[in-house]
Parts: sequence; structure tokens; C-alpha cells
Amino acid sequence: MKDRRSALQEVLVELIEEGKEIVCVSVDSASRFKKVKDTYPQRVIECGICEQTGMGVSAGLALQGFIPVISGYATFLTMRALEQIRTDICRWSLNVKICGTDVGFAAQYAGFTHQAFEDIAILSSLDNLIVCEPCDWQDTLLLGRVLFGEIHGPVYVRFGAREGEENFSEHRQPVEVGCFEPLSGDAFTGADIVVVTLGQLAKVGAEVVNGLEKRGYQAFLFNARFVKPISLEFVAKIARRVKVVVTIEEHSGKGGLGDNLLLAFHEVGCIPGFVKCAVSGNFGSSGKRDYLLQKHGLDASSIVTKILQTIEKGGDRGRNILEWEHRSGNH
Amino acid sequence: MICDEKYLMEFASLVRKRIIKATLRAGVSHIGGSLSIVEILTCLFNGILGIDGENLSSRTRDQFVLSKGHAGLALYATLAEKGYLGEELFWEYGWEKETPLGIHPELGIPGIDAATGSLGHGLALGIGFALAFSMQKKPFHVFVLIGDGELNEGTNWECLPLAVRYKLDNLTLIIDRNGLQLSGYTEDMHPLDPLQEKFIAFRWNVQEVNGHNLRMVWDALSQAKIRNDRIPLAVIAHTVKGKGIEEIENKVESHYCGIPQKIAEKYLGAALYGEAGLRQ
Repeated sequence: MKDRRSALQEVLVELIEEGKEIVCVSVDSASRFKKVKDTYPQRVIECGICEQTGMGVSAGLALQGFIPVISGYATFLTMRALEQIRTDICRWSLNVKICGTDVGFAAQYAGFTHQAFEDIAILSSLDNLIVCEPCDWQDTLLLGRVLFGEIHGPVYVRFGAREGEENFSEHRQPVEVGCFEPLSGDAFTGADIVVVTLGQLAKVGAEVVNGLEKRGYQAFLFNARFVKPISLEFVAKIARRVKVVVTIEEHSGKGGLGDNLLLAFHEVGCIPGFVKCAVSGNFGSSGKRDYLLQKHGLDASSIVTKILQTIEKGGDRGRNILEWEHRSGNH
Repeated sequence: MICDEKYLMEFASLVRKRIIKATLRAGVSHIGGSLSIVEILTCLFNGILGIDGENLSSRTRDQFVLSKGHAGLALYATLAEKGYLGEELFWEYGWEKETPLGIHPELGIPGIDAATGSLGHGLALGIGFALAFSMQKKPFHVFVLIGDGELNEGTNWECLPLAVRYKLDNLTLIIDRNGLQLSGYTEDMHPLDPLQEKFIAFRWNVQEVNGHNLRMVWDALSQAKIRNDRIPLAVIAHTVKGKGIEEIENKVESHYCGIPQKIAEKYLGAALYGEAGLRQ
């Protein structure tokens, strides 16, 4: 199956073959490293169901020159082991790669205990850490090679659902840390509406762009790839050439892609109209992913409607935000 | 490795006096838990650990993790007494200004192999080191020094089976069994006994020593380093919190306190060691 998790394993095996000192740290999550285990069994360390210990061991391995890759449920890695991520890894910019799986509604019937909607909000507050999510198999290969093989420092990669992860584009753009990947063309030169999606929701984003174009808007799709850092230079280019920016993410509306991008617009001093499409609240529930996405308005049809309503209300000139600032006295 | 007991006694005495002086200067310190590990650090840094002035920042030597990072003062005092830490820097301990020499050790100071202070983190880091040495087939040993109160933290107990699974005989866990933690006696707060049996039940080897007897500590740690039995080892060092300053010995308050000038002077001017070891 060409899903993101299997792409990650391809990259890890490749990097080991090239002589990189990759060590996979399993927290009873060895299925995420199956290919590595089959090929290089000595490169997988099993820590048992012990996320904090796994994170601490990863820090120790990194201090000794290895590139530890720890993978497990995002909820448990990013919350139970948060302090180890902060204190043992990020403080020292250690070369640990954290792969949080089953983000968003991916865990489906497992319910809110296993569904991560806060991981970005939590981790984007940590200095030195890169926070990202690939959108498909090919994107995982590209991001993996750069972030695991070339960049020294802590990285958090989130992985969501494992179905429907076909490639969105044959021709992929090279990875530039902090920049979104243009999916509507080679480069962004301007549009009425920019749609930025995170992870697998690129597919929904493509449907949204189609829907908007059918209604006469010029729309452009980006695969965010990165939530942190976000290049301000890159953001300024978008801000100058767009009326409305739409973010779509399988994460809580608080502290995710939308908020981080909004902050970046604020920092460059130019805030376009903004439509944030995210999960409402941070506690998920049991159910089929597609159903839950729709319930939270994360299907293409609901998103298009929300965008059109925002434009009708004049939100295409960033007025929503300015009005809020005025009301709250935050000038 | 030769145990020069007379030299070790002199060294330990100077480290104790440094801890007292630094506490006087700073006004307050984690003096109790610093004084309880002086003999352990004295042995480690005078021949047990393969550390010298040339390889202070190296990762290709034995590694030491002071998991009970609040006793950083004892580590700083030891490094300073060895000449590894500059005198000027040592006296920055407790400064109001920004300094790399905080209560808890941070990376970047030569001779400090792990940043610690958040309890329950050190053993996992040490296992990471030991696994790395094992995978790289490097002949180095990892010593992790942990407080007995710190054993309240569940992460330690997560780590025990992991060290067994990977047969880490290049790892030694030293437990500073002074019987006290911040708010009270360990057995009242969060009972640990029978501690030795607990480690044995986790399939660790255990050795118990008097943590203030330099010969016993030396013998236990030097044997620990050369073992080849594929079993992790815990050395339970029975110690006294605040050891060497009678007025605070085995007192809950010794966890974090100052010492009056008069009391400090009494000990600074005295020979702390006699023929039979540390004076009682």
C-alpha cells in the first residue's frame, strides 16, 4: 500500500543504506518500522509501551550521534512525553525525529483517546522544533529525505489516515523548509483565493479549488507541508497577491495551521481575508473518518459554502480580523 | 584503577568544603542531597570514569548522568576540584546574573554529559547512551546517579525492563539511598522498601554499599565497570542526607537550605576525615 507510513519506511531504509546512523525507536509500535526491522533488525529498538522512556532513550541516542526516529500514536507521544520532547530534545536541538501517527480522525472508532487534534498547538510552542505533515506517499519521500537525512535537529512529522493517500501530483516541488508546496502550478503568481491544506486534506483542497473555479474565482492550492516554521518572506508573497486565504486542517481550530499562518500574516503586517476550516473543539469522538470530517464541516461542499459566505460578508478584505481587533481594543 | 584512599579522603573533604562555601555565598542550596553523594562523585571522577582534562566534552568515553540534577552543586564542586571547571565559573553558582551554572546542570559545561533536573529523566538518557555504545561496540560505561526519592517517578520503573531486555552490562545505576525527599522520609512519603528485592524482581543485579565509605564505593563501582554478565546493575548506596554537617544531617529541611556562618566556619576549619574515614 502506498501510504505515508510505508513511504517513511522506504526513506529510512534508503538512508540507512546510505550510511546514515538512523535508529528506529518503537514504543510497541514496531509495525511502523516493519521494513526497517526486516532489513536491518539491529536498527530497531523496542522500548515497550513507554513513550516517555522512548523519548528519553532517543535523546540519549542522539547525544551519541545517532539519528533516532521514534514513532507512535501522536496523542501519547506529544502529550505523555511532552516534557521529554521539551527538556531533553528541543532545548538542545537534538537530532530526534518524532513521527506522530493517527492524527485527526484517523483512529476513527478508537475515539478521542487516540485522536490527536492538539499536537500542533502543543508542539508549535517549542523552539527549535520543525512541525510538518506530508500530504501523500511521494511527499513523505521528499520530506523524509530532507528532514531526516539532511537537516540536523528535532522534527515532528504527523501522519493521519492510511487510506486514500494516492499522490496528488506527479510533479512534485522540492522541499524548502518553511514554504508551502504549490499544487496548482509550478509557482504562485496571484489568485483571488488561496487554499492551504495540511496533510491528506490536500484531496479535499483540490475539490474546493475546483468548486471555487466553477463559480468564477481564480483559486490556487498549496500543500502546507510545514506549520512551523513558516517563512515570512514566503507568506508576504502570498499576502500581497490574494484576497482570501483558506486553511484546511484535521486539527483543532486553536493553535493549528490556521492560527500559525494567521500569526505569520500578522507578523508581515498584511492580513488577507481569512477562512479557517478546522475541527471544532479538541475532543474527537468515535465514528468513521469521512462522517466525522463532514460533521466538522471539513468536506469540500461545506468549505466552499463557508468561503462564499465569508466573501459575501465582505471578509475578502480581512475585515473580520480588523473588526475583531477594534472590538476587543487590540489595536 | 588504583584506589588511593588517602587522596580520595582529601579530595572528598575539599569537595565538601566547596559545597559549604558555595552555599554560604549563594545563601541557600540543595545542600543535603549534595553532601550525600560526595564520596560517590569522588570515586567516579578520580579513576572510575575514564575522564580527564583532555576528553571533558567527548562522547567517546565513559558517560555520567546526574539524574538527581538538583545536586548539581556537588558535581560542580567535584569538577572544580579536579580543575575541569574554572574557579571563576564555579563561583557563579547562585549568582543573580544569568549563568550557565544554575542549580541543575546543563549541557555546554565541559564534563557535564547530560542536562538534568527534571526527575525521572536520567535513566532513559543513560540507557540511550548505553544502547549507543553497545550498537557501536564501544567499550565505554554509563553511570547514572539517581536519588531514592526520584524513584517515585514512574519512568524509572519503565526503564528497568528495557535495560534487562538489552542486557546492558555497560550501565550502572547508583541510587543515593539517603532516605529523604523534599517533603519527608521516603518510607513515609512513598514507600520504596524492600528496595533491593524490587530490583531483583525486575531481574537486575543489586549491590548495597555504605555510600560514605570510599573503599566500599570504589570497589563496587570499579567492579561494576568491568563486569561482563549481560545484566544491568543497581548499586544502592546507603547515605545520609546532609552528611558531614551534623546540624542538618538526616533532616527534611536539609533538602534546600542555607547554613549559618558560624556552623559553616566550624566545618571549613576542621579536618572532615579522620583515620577511620569521614568523622561522625
